[in-house]
Formats: sequence, C-alpha cells, structure tokens
Amino acid sequence: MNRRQLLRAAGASLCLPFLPSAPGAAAESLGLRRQVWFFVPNGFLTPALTPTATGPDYALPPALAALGPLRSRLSLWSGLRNLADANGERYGFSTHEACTASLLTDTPLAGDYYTRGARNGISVDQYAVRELRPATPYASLQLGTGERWINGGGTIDVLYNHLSWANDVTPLAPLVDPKAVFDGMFGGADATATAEEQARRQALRTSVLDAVNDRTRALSARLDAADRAKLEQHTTAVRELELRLEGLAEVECDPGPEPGADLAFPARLDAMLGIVRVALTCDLTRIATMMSATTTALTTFPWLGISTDHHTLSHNQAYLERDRQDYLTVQGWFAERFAAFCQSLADVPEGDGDLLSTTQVTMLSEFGDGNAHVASPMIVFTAGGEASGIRHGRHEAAAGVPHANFLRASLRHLGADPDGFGTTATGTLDLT
Amino acid sequence: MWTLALLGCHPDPAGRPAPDPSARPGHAGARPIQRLNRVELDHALRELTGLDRDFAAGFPPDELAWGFDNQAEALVVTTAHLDALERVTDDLAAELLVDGHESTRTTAIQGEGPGVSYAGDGQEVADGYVLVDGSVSATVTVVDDGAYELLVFVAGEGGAELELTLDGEAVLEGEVDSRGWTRLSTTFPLAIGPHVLTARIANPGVGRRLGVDQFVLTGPTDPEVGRSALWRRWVTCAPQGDPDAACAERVLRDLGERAWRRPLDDADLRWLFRLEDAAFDAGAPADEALVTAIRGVLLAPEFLYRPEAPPAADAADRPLDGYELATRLAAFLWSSIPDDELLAAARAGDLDHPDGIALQVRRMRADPRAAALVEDLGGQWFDLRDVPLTSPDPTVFPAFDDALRASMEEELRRMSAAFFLGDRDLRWLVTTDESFVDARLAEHYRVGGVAPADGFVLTGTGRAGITGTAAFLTVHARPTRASAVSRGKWVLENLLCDAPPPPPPSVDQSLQLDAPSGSVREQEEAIRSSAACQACHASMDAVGFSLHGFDGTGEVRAEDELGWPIDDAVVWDGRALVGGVELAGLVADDPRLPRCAARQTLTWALGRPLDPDDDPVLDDVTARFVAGGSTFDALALAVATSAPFRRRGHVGGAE
Repeated sequence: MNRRQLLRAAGASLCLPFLPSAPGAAAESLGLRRQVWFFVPNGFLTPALTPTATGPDYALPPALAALGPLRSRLSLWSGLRNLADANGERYGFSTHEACTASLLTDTPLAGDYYTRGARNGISVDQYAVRELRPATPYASLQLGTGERWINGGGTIDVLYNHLSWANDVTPLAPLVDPKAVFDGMFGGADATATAEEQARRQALRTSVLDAVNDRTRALSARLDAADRAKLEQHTTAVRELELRLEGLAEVECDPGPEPGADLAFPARLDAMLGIVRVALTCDLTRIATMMSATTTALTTFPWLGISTDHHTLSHNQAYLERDRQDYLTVQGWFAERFAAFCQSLADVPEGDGDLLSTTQVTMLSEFGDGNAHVASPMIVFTAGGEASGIRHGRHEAAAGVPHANFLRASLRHLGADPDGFGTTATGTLDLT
Repeated sequence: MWTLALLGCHPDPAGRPAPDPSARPGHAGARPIQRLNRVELDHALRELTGLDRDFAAGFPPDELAWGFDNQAEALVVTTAHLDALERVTDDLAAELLVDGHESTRTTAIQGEGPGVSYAGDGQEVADGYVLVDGSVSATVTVVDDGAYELLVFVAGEGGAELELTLDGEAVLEGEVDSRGWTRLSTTFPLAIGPHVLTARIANPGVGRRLGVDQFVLTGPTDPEVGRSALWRRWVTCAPQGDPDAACAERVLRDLGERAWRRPLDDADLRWLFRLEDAAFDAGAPADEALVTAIRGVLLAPEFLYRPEAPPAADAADRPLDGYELATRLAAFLWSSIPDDELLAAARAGDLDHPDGIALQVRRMRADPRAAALVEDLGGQWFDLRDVPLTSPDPTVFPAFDDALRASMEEELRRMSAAFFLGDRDLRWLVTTDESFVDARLAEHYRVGGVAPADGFVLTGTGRAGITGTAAFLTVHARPTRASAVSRGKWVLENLLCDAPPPPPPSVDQSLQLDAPSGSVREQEEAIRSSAACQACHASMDAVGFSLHGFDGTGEVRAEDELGWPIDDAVVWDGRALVGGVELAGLVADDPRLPRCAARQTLTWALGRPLDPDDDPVLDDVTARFVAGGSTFDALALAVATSAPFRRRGHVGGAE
C-alpha cells in the first residue's frame, strides 16, 4: 500500500494542479512559470527541418507534420549558433560530447578533458534553480532513458550523458528507472498507520537527516580539504533532501498508475514524460530536463520499420537516400513525442488557461546536421509558456544569433535575471 | 548512562610500529573521500540485510572515469543519491517494524481492490462474486515465511466444481453444493513475496454457477514468527518498554561494525543512542526508537563513504589501519564491504603484514563474492557489461538474436573468469585457442553439431583469446559493419595502455564507403593516408585490420561489407603478421601487456588514476605479477600489498 492508494481511499481522486495552499512563499517568486528541456540525440537535419518562410505563414516541413496541431502554441527558431562549440566554430567540425555538454551550459570544454576529467559550467536549468530557489520538493528533475552508445567514452563519458550541471564539476545524472522515480515521489506512506504514526515517522526521518548532517560536519573537520569539499556537497544534498521529504509529505495529488518495471524504449520515454507531467501538475517541480537518449545512442526504431541505429543513420543520411528519409522519420517521431507531451500539459486546466501556458517546453539537439558533425546552425522548437509573455505561431530566422541568447530568454521568462548566465551570449533573445 | 567498552578506532597494541620491512617502493598517493558506487551499495545492503533485492535501482548511474565507475574523483553526490539511500533506509525501517501476526492478515477479495482481477464470464454481486465461467484472482504479498491459513467463502449450484490454486498449484477442489456461503479453510506454507490465489469454476456448463466471497489469509500461524526476517537478523534481543541499553548496544554495535567496517567507539554509540532517545521522547514505541537509530547507521557518512583520516601534517603518508585496509580489499575483490572474517582479521592485526593480506586475498578470491571481479573489473576492462547493449543491424546480420548475444556474453564471462578467478595466466587470456561455446555459439563459429546445449570448451576454432571472442568483435563494431579503428584502439588502450590521442578537432571522422572504388580496407586506408593521420592510425589500423576476417558479429568471413576479398595481412610497428591468432601472439609477447594489466588493476583497486609519480609502484607491481607467473593471483597480491594500497598521503599531493 502506498500513498497513492491511501489518497484514493480517502477520496482524493480529483487531480488538482494546486492545492489552494500549495505554493510556498519562495515558490511565488517563480510565479506560475516552469520550463522543460527535451533533448533529441544525434542531431537534427536542420536544412530539412527549417521552413523556407518566416513569420506566421511558414509551411511545416513534411517530417514535422506531427507538430501541426501544436502550431499555434509553438515557435521555431532557426539559424542560432552554439558558440560554445569552439571546435565547430573554428574548424566546422565537432564532437557529440562537446556539443551535448555545452548545449545547456554555454561553456566550451576546457583543458585536457580527455585525460584529466571533464570540466563544464552550470547549465541553464540549474542556473534558474540557483537564482530562484524554488520551494518545490524537487528543485529540478533530471530524467532520461539510458539509451546509449555501447562503449562509454571513458573519462569523457560524462560529457555524453548529462544536460544538467550544478557547477563545473558536478553533472546531475538523469534518473533512468521510471518506476523508481515514481515510487520516490508517491510511494512510502503506510496506509495502515494512523495519522499520528505517519507524522511521527516523517518527523523521525528528517530528524535523522539533521543528525547525519551534524555528524558529517564533525567527520569533515578531521579530513583533508578535498574531502571536506566532497562532504560539503553531501551536507547540501542532505539539506535539500529534508526539504524534499517535508514537501512531499504535504502533496495530495493523484499521480495515476505507477509505471511498470523494466520498461524498454520507447515505453520508458513515455513513462518518463508522464512523470514530468505529473510532477508539474502536482507542483513537485517546475524545472526539468529530459534526455530522451544520450548522444550517439544506438537506438533502433522497429516500430517505424527502421532497423539501422540512430547514430549510423545520422551519418549515412549524407549519402544514402533511404537513410536520409529514416533519419528524418526518427526526428519526426521525436517531434511527435514532444508534441504529445505538450498536448498532455495543455490537457491540464490551470486557472483560466492550462499547464502548457505556464510551462515553456523546448526541444533541441546537439547537432545541426548529424554527419556534418557540428552544432550550428541550430533549430530549436519551443512551445507553451504564453503566460510569461512568449508569443507563438511563427518561425523566426535568427541567423548568427548565439544560442546562449535563447537560453537567456528562457531564464527571463522563468523570472530569473539572465545576465550572469553563459559565456557567449550577446544579449537576450526577444520571445515576446 | 551507558556502559561502553573502550574500543579505539585504530588499535595499536604494540605502540608505534617499527619501520615495516615489507614496505614496497613507491609513493602512497591519495584520492578524495570515496563514495560507495551503485554496485558497492547494492552489494553492501545485500550483505547487511541478507535480502536478495535490487537495492540500487533508484540510484543515479555512476560516472565513468579512467575506464571505471569507482573512481573517487568522479563519484559525485547529489540530492538524488541521498534520496535513493534514504528511501532504501525507510523501506527497511518499515520492514523492521512489521508485526507479522497482524499485517499478514489479508483480506484479498472483496469487490474491486488492488491486485484483484477477473477473467471470463461472471458478475459481481453485493457480497461476493459469481462465476459462470472463468476465474477470479488476487495477488497477496506476505512479508514473512511461515504457515498460513486461508479462509474462503463459497456458494455453488448445478454441480459447479471449485478449483482453488495458489501460484498455479491446486490447494482446494471439489463440488460446491450450497445456496448460502460456506466457509472452507486450508493451511499451507508460504515464502516471503507475492502470491496469486485463483478461484475458478472447473466445469463450466449450463446452470452451473459458483460464488466466491473473500479470501482471508492469516499467518504466519507459528507464534515464533512474529517479526520480519530482517528484524530477526538485526535485532537479536527484545528491546523492553524503556530503551533497553544492553539490547540496543548489542544491536547497534553488531550492525554498525558491519556497515561502517570498523568497531564503534563511545562517541559513535552516543550519537546513535541520542537518535533512539529522541525517537522515544517523541512517542515512538521501543522498537521504532531502536529502528530510528538503525536509520542513523545506514545514513551516516561512515556507511556511504570510506573515510580515511589524513596523515599528520608533517608526514608524507601514513599506513592504513587494518579496518581501512579490509574495506579497500572488499571493494577491490568483491565490490562490497568486508565480511565477518575479514573484520576479524583486521581486529587481530593480521592485515598489518603482507602474509596476512595474502591469506585474505586468496580466501576472498575463492569466495563466490569474487564474481564481482568478473562482472565489475572485467565488466569494464573487457567490456563484458557492454555485450547486452550491442544491437547489430538485423538487416545486415539477420542471424543475430538475443540468444546469440547471451551466448557471446557467457563466453566472455567464462574466459574472463578463468583469469580473474581461476589460475589461467594473462598470456592464456590473450592467446588461448579455447572457445567457450554452447550450441548457438558453436553454430556461429561454424563448428555446429558438436556442442551440447549447456556449453563446453572447444579448441581449434581459429580464434585467439579475448580478441577472438564474438563478444569482443561485436562490441567493437558498428551496428552495420566491423570497425578496424574501434578494435585496434581497444587493444592499444586496454591491453597495452598505449592509447593514441583522440583525433584533432579539425578532423572529419565520418566515413563514407563507396563500393566501386575498392575494398573497405583500401577506402579506409586512403581516407587516413596522410602523415598526420598515420602518426596514430598506422598502429591502430594494423591491429584492427588483422581482425578484419571477422564481421560485425564476430563471424568468420571471406569478403568485406562491399564484397571485396578480406585482406588481414598487416605490418604492425614493423612486424608483419596475418590474422587474429598472430596478432594475439605478438600482444602476448609485448612487454606493455603485463604493465597495462597492472595499471588497470591498480586504477581499479585504488579508485584513482595513476600519474607519473606512480611509476615506481607500477614497475614493482608489474615485476611481481610477471615473476608470479602472470596470474591474477600474483597480480592481486602485488596490488594488495603495494605501497599506495596500504598507505595514504595527502589529497592534492601535499607531501
């Protein structure tokens, strides 16, 4: 028996975006603003996905037909450049890891990262967390599917697998087991316990964590400086966990069915997107990154009749027409998942509007062409968030504009001061 | 208020030891405080609880660095990690507090409910369910082993026969001739976990109806079994109405010593007792108060990390004490925590001497837990973990399927185990002409018809060692084709530790193959013909193309992907050779091979990369490995008694 069943038994089956008392004072600083980043690996074929016309009357390329129903709530920004892809800008050729790692951090890879470990910068979603300190149980969520290339990249593996970085040396690993994530959010309560017993258990959980932090600090004092730095991360994480547990105990919201165990792709992706929707609906978080697969993933798409893996397609498309079509079909399929996710938010009423109107959802990929192997020119697809003033229903050609300017715009619409973010921005893109 | 034995953390009965005559050369080095990784946490929790459970499912994946997932510098800790550990702890706490007699009393069916499903034809009625055809099932989960009594209320007419099964086995059957509800009961043993009860009408037919009301499962009926298995394992005494000092001390000392890999001192116990007292003061019953302290044991940094105190400021390094060394040994050889025997060896001071370390290394390598060497060290060094992730393109390799992948994986596992766990030496691992095949892999190796389904050793398949296995050849291929670069690079990087640098950023790494212009090899060589490319590719490609006679799934082939004849004659660093067997011979004779094995194993065992300051250590370990016959026994002993394994310096190299 878990909390979900308990809530149902108590008749709390109505799915409310917010309890009247839900957002705390700190949450209010965010307003009703949220953002989700949806990563597609192995590049977009930008030339084929970029409409010829700009403005409101553009024609969607055939591969993106799935975006049709979303059109009025969607903008396409083409021509952006990821200037943090230093090699790409200099040589016209780059690597998956350099472009994936910098995609949300706007940080060029520094130093001898092949042999001495990777350094990156804070990512846009974590910058927002740092600036806005959301009081939701999860300050942010990092989810993925675990789809990947077979051989790790050794020391630089970390650059393939993460969108979110808390700082230059702390990547935030995407959780890849939907059932475990769901159980973490909604499991745990013992329905046979009395309210008093539950409250006591909750209090004991957090008091143990308090004591653990005291102990960790005492231990830390006896260790080296480098150890103290690690344990400082630990005490920060414990503090955040205490807030999370307290927050989750307050949540009353019907999450729907628990995801199955051992789901395979693409069911796993859909389950994870479902979790993001529930987490936003129940106000467990307002910021999420979704790594639909890690870069260079060797995913095959038998349900689309495609048996060549995604990474191979991304190269072969340059000279095999069949693979080019399949590569575009795969991108269309990811666009379909993106559109379905946006629609699932649009289906949740909130105030006078819906959940999508307060959530900016952006789909993007590390490469502007999988075989050209370079980040730019990029195309990004951004939907929702109209409540923060974003205007949709258009394709804008932003030739040469730094992608970082778009990242900064997303911060502005989230309510954060964007000026300190990134390394290559020349301004903040106007999305209004 | 507590009477505590005075136990120090670093027992040193003989005072400051004399300089150790067994000390090996080289500096100690240091790494940041090391967090247990996912595998180690999972193994540790299994050790502690005795439960066969996937404890690590909720943990974020660990970062790989220097080829392994246990490198201290890369093992970050985030809220997600703590959340997962707290969740596991909370689940265990709930399990500890289960009162078997009450909570396993389960009413499984009464209208719609969790775990209840209906199949076939029937109808739900006010106080039960009426079956005309089909069945009604309920899943119940019991939390303790023992005897259970099942009550079921049934009614029937028209000669309807009931068949009641438990997990598919019949437990009650016979005709039910009763218009009113009749109570039936039966008793049977049940093991911990979910069970499915199904009632069906065995003889559906006109006029026959069977009514089923509740399933009530009660147990365990044995009065000795009131608590979960976990409670009985950890709580070896009964805490009384007040916090029971003696009982709590015993429980926390025993569990704490296993979990923290060292004896608890007074301050440790005071900290845990404070948790217990606070819970008791907050109104928790005695058992819940004790469990609160147990939460503290599992959430304390001493469980999640391996703290090792730094040397004195004016000392370059210090010897690790027996407990710290035991912890390192358990991580190295078992990806886990020490067992009681290893802790006893630490307590007795046996690990202060190379002979005592050797004794434990040999014992541990013979223990089933040493399978971790194959799955974790070998899993990453020889890419055993990557085999399940391979996905050759079925349009190119229609014969490839899950069964073949599993057979390939098993061959690589058995071959690795012969080295890590058996007495086969490194040369054997690289050159052996033995293949470990089952019927499916024998067919793939074209020696079909000779292998029984359960797998056995076959010689003379024309393959040599690790690089001849289909598993290696498939992992180091692209989904649509063999990859000479990937294979060559792996051999240089992982067997010789002489990896070429990554291509310069200006290089276009895409590969377009075009049939009419020549063989795959000729086209690849033409693309990389420039002096700049050849500086690295000459060696890498020579190794890779010597394995060109195997396709992307490791099958022998006569033609390449474009239909050109295979040419696997190469010149590698001035030495002409043909094919994988000759390659393996040269690799086996290469002096870089044992040194690389020593480097890989040291990196794994120390949880940090080696730097040039470690060269004397590497020289020493390599020499002892080779002198010991190049077996893993010799390598493990050399590593476990090396200077950096037994000592630690200052993090950041302040020495």
